[in-house]
Amino acid sequence: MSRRLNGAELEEWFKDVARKAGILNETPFELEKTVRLFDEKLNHRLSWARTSIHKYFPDGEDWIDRTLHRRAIPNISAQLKHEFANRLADLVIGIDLVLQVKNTGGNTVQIAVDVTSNDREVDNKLRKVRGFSLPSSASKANKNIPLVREELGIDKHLVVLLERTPGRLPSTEKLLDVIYAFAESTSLTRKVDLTNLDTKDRTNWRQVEAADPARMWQKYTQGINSKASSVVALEAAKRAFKDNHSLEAILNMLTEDPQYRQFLRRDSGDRKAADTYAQSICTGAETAVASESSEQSQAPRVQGPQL
Amino acid sequence: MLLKDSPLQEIEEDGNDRNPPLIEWMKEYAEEAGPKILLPTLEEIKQAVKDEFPELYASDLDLDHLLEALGIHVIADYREFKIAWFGTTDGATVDELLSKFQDQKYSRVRKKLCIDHLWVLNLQPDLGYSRNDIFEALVDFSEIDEKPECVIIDL
Repeated sequence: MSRRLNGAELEEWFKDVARKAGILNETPFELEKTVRLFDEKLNHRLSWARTSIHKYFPDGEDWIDRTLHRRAIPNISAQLKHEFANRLADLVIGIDLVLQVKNTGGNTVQIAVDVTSNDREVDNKLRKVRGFSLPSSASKANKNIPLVREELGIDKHLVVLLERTPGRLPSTEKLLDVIYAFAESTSLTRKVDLTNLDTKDRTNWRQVEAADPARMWQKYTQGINSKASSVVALEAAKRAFKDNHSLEAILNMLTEDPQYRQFLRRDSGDRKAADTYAQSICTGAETAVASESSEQSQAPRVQGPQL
Repeated sequence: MLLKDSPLQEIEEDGNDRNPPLIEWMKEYAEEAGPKILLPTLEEIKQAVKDEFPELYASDLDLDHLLEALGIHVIADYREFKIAWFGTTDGATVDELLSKFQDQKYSRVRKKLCIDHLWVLNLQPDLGYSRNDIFEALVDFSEIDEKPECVIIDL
C-alpha cells in the first residue's frame, strides 16, 4: 500500500500540478504590504501567527517588527521573503497557494487555494475564508479576511478537500475543470470535495513521476542522511518500491544517481557497469522491502505515524 | 504495591508500550506546526512528580513515557501561555482522559512545569492534519475569556 501524504506534501502536490499547468502564481505576496495589512486588519490572527513561525523562521518576529517600523530586514534573500510572506498568508488568511487563470471573458482571475484533507474541518475553513468564526464562537477575528484578500489583489478563495492517498488524488484535467469552473462562476468562495472520485478522474501519479526521473530522484532521496552514495541510492530505491513504482521506473530514476554518472564518465560513456550498479541497487532494495514487508505481516498491528 | 489510579500502573498494565507511534507523530506534528517547543529534562520532570506521584519518581520510565503518564505529549510555548498537548485517536476515551488529567495531582505537576493549559486533542485515526489545524484551535482558544485549564480540542 502506498504511503499517505501529509498536509505539507498535499500542498506541494497541488502547487506542482498548478506549476506544470502554468497557472501557479509563484510570488503572490509582497512582504511589506502583506505584513502591514495583516497588522492593520487582522491583528489578532497576526499576533498568534507570530507564535507559530518559530520553527521555520526563527527571526520571523524580528522581520515583522522591522517591517512594521519601516526598517530594512538585513540579510534576507528575495526567495526567503516570498516564503515568509506565503507562510504568514497561510496562517493568517488560510492561503496555501494562489492560482492565476483567465476566464472566458479574457479577464485574469487570482484564486487563493486552501488545501485540506481534514473533512471535519472543511466547513470551518470555508466559514473562515468567508469572514466568519466557528458557529459556537462570537469571535470577530476572521471578519476582515475577505477585505484583506481583496486588498491583496485576490479575487476568489477555494477550499479543496483531497484524499491523502496519492492514487486517489484528482487528475490534472479534473483539477483544472474545477478551477476554471470556479473562475467562471460569480461565487467568491467555494469548497470543493475531490474525495471519492471515479477512477477516470484520478491521477496516474506513478506515471507522472516516472516520466521525470530527476524529480523522482529528488523526491526519494529527500532527508536521507548518508554520504555513502550506495546507501542513498538503496534507500531511495526502497522508498520507490514501497510506492509500487515499476522496476523500469526505478532503474530510470537511478540514472540520476551521481554514482551512476561517475561510472559512465569512468567508462567513457559505456553504460554496462553503470547499469549493473543500478540493477544491483534495485535487487538489494527489492529484497529489503520484501523482507520488511514479511516482518511487518508477522508483527502485531500498530498504528504508524503518518505525518 | 502501586496505588490505585497510579499512572505507572496503567503503563505497566499496557506493557509500557502504549501508542509509541502516536508520541512520535505528536512530536513531528508539533515541529511542523511551528510553535516553540519546550523540552524539559528527565530530571526536571522527576522533580516535578516527586511529591504527587512518588512511584513515577522512582520508576525507570524514559522521558517520553514519563510525560505520557502525566498526560503530556508536547509542550508548546505560545508566550502568553504554555499549552501541553495530549493526543488520542480513541474518541471514546477522550472524556475519560480529560477527567483523569484534570485531577488536582496532575494539575499541580503541570503548574510545577509552568504549563498553563492542557489540550486533550481528539484526533481522527488517519491523522490527516495540516499544520494550520492546530493554529485555528489556538486562535479560537485565545478568544475565550475564562480559559479552562483543561479542555478537549476536536481537531
